[in-house]
Amino acid sequence: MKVFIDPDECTGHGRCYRLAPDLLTYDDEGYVAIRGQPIDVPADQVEFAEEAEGTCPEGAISLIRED
Amino acid sequence: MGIDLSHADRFLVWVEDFFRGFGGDPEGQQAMADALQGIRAYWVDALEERRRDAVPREGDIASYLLGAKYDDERPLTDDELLDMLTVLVLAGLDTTRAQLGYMFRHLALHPEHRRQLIDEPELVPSAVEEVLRFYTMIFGDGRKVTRDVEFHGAGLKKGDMVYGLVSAANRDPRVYDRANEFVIDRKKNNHFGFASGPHRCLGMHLARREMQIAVEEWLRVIPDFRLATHEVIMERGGGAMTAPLDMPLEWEVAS
Repeated sequence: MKVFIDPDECTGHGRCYRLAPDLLTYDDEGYVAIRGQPIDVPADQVEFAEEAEGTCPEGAISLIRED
Repeated sequence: MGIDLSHADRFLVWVEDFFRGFGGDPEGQQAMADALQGIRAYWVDALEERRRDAVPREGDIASYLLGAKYDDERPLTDDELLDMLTVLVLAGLDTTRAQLGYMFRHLALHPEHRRQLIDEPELVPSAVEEVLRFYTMIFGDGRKVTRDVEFHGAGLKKGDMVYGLVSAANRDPRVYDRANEFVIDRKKNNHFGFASGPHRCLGMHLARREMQIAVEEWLRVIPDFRLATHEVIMERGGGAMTAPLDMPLEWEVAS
């Protein structure tokens, strides 16, 4: 699985990186640090990636599932 | 934010007078107008004092805005500066206090949640988010339509103003499990308590931190408390917000 943060939609609410601190980090202005490119989700972080996706008020987070 | 803390008392009175003016009586509206005038005059003076500075003052929002550019093109006009600083005062002081009021009412009425937060303090952040979802004190907000669009059968034109009742969205059963229940450890909580989009609440990180610290520190000292009245708690508000007028609490003091 990969997680993708839409750089045009993220406004820095910060709820995703609070729920998934080991997966997502933030920059000095409070946005998710890595935006606009897929981030690999380690197996033990899948649950947190799903929570992060569901907590974004901007709908800026999408999950890319690889089968 | 760069203003003298000793001026805080003035701001508190202005903000209270301003929001009470939403009640609609002529006397209140006069006090509201006077308060607005007071806040703007304060910032006119503060800006004047800072214009002469060669470099922006550290941690000083008025000073920073004087040097800021709109879309990297032009400096902000005096009216824009005053509007922003005034909104900052109005939006910053009343909201957190009101939201804290609703949070403490909830905790006064739910001993099981007090107990849970004392036993599992790591739940405080999600409890704060749930307070914002469940007791949304800025319950609606206006937005301007940026392009012609049909929304659920309603034709909207570019430039139309629309009103979003965010407190209803925050209890949408299509989005939330147990939407009408306070779920203290709710995780996927994409509520609009701070609105969304480019105009989402500028102070949300500070507000959250204030709420988290308030509940942690309070419960450390006063783990058990209750409402000190059986009367209905009166609220004031306008088209967008609601705030309890007071929130009387009582507790036992160990002798």
